[in-house]
Amino acid sequence: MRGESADAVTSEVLRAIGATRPPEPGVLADAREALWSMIASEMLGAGSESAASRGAAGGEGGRATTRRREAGRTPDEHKRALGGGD
Amino acid sequence: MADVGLARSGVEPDDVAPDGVLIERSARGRPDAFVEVARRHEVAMHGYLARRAGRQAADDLLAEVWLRAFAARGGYDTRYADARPWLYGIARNVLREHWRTTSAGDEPTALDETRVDPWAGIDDRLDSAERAKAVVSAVRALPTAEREVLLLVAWEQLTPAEAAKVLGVPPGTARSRLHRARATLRQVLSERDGDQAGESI
Repeated sequence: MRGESADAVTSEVLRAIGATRPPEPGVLADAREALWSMIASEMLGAGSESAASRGAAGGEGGRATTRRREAGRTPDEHKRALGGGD
Repeated sequence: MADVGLARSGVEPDDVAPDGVLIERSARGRPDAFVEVARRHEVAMHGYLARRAGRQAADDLLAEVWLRAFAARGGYDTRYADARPWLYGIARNVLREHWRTTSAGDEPTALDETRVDPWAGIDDRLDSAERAKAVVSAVRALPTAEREVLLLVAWEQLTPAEAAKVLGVPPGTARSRLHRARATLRQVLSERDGDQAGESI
């Protein structure tokens, strides 16, 4: 076996060696959940900053309570609040 | 409803927009757009991790890849529509840290495992199994830099230029490493085939 033919066989063998079973759906969902959580933190942080600036300008006393309530959400609740999800 | 609005405004919906566009959106006020990027590439990223660190570790490390990628999205070069090379580069860094902390070395796990019968349907399975062992042995003996390029191309289906981006080397360097790796494998396997032919005579 020579040249390109040998390369083709070797590539085929390598692909076979590297074949993996697909991950469990729960694994993928868990990883996405962690991502959603980070996204939610960022969005809520940005919201908090703008709320804080609005509060400074106009005095909105209720915002801090809202932020505390938002910070206590689970990732699932974050996703629903942000309009996302699986 | 939102999709209709996007179509009317000429903006591609997230599910059809290229990765680069989604990453740019995610960096400019729509962080949730990044989830579509994760959804598109999650199986491939998990496979990459699993082939190199084992399935259990891949399960644990996948989230870390997304978190790092999301945190680094501001530096993404949006001229690249396909985010795979960038994501593989991040996954590679996650793996290197994993190997450092577990002292597991840097050998791809898939090469350590004995694959029993990946060639169902082929008659000469014994020869196939022998050839697989020879390929594994030859790949393991390659210099790490050459092996990395070879496996990015063979396992992750990247082009040499994409593999170069993953590794942070010039495309020409990746191409020459790939060329050397293939030449070495060809040499080793042809010697093996020659020896076997000699034994059978």
